[in-house]
Amino acid sequence: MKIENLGKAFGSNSVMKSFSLDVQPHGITCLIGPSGCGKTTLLNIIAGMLPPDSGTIARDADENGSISYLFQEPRLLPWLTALENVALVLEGDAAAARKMLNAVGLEDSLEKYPGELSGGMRQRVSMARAFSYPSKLLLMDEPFQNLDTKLKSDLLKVFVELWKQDGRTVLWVTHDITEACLVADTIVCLSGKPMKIDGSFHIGIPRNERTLENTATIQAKIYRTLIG
Amino acid sequence: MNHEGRRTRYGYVSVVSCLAIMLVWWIAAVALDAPIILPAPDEVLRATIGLLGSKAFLSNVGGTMLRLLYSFVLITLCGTLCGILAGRFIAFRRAIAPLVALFKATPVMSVILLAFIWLGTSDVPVFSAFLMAFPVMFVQTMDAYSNIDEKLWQMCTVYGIKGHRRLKYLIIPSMMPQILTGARQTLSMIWKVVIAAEVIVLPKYGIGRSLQLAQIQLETNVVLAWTIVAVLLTALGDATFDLLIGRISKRSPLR
Repeated sequence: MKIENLGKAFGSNSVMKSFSLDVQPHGITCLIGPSGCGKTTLLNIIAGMLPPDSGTIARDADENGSISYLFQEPRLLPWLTALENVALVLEGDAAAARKMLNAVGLEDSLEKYPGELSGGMRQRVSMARAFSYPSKLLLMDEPFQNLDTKLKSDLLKVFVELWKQDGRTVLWVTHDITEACLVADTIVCLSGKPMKIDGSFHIGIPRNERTLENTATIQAKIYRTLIG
Repeated sequence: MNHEGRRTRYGYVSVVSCLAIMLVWWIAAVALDAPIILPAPDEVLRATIGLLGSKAFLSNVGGTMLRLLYSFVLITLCGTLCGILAGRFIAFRRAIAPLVALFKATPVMSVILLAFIWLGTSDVPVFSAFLMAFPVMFVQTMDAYSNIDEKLWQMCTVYGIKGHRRLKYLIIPSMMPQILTGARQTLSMIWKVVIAAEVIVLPKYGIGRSLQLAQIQLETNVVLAWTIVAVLLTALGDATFDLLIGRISKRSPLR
């Protein structure tokens, strides 16, 4: 996906001006930057929820135009069960929805309503929905930010396993440098306003060999870039 | 004490309160000794039993109930439809706003008397009920549409949930609690308006007509008996509606 010369302003507040970014196909790209620099606005423009003032977004040739989105909150329909929420994006294919919910470890909670699930379980349903939807691009907007460390670590493992199965392009907004270094192929450091790229880092270490220790150097580089 | 326990406890308080009102009523009736002004509770009870056994009772109750049902269906359909349109289209909201404001501000008796002049006898209760209760249903539906969670709306856009699927899975379930609240308020309101209109226009059958005839003949005990019947029927209607809401709420997708 190629983002070129994107511009967006809210009144006199220019969020981005001639912003360009190449997103690696079939890879995980993390966007890290200060709050309010325009990361969520960028995702919402890509998702078609917000029109840009200028610029273009060219999707890769093998993409069908559909997008999955893991929001900060799970955004489940409260009157549908976990199974029904996932089946909804599969045109009612309950068998496929059940399979995906099993994959995220919710085989015992298929018939539960979102109100009966914990925060982590709701985000698992949201993740199952995102990976069930037949899209080639997954946008993620800090979906694990409100979860505790253990839960976040568990969900990251589930996420990586699901991603390995279909290798869809992922654009992930996060504030967690460690999380980004353990999962991403590329990390883009941003600053505002208007939003611009301060640095881009490719993580050369294979994903299954990464540890806190062997990513420490790159974490330090990212940290330095962010604090200027 | 749990919630159920407190409900039982306060239930007894309500019974005691009713008994106290009856006692005050009875003492006042005995002290006044003027049944035309205030008949005693036992007289009213006898009149009520007499009404229940009379041939005209079912015809009069049936007449009112039919008008009530007709008004309710009409108000619910029109109020819901206009409310959704007003929620969806700002231009429609602006266009209908003066009309709704006029309906809200007009006194019930003015509506009934004007309807009597314009329409004649049979349609006045339904027309009056419509004018009085339509704003309630309309506003509740319009608010319900405006209150649909923007974040869920965005989620549906991203995941391609459009058209009838969005209506079925997002719009209707989101709006249903407020629509049901509006329908319940409408039902409670139109009982009073339909009966008041019947008092004025005297249709062939109706509780309002019976009230008016009893008043003309100075049968205060019968007036109170019909009032008790109307109150009981309103309570029965509300209870039936609450039961219906409870049953619907238990089922997906309204949960």
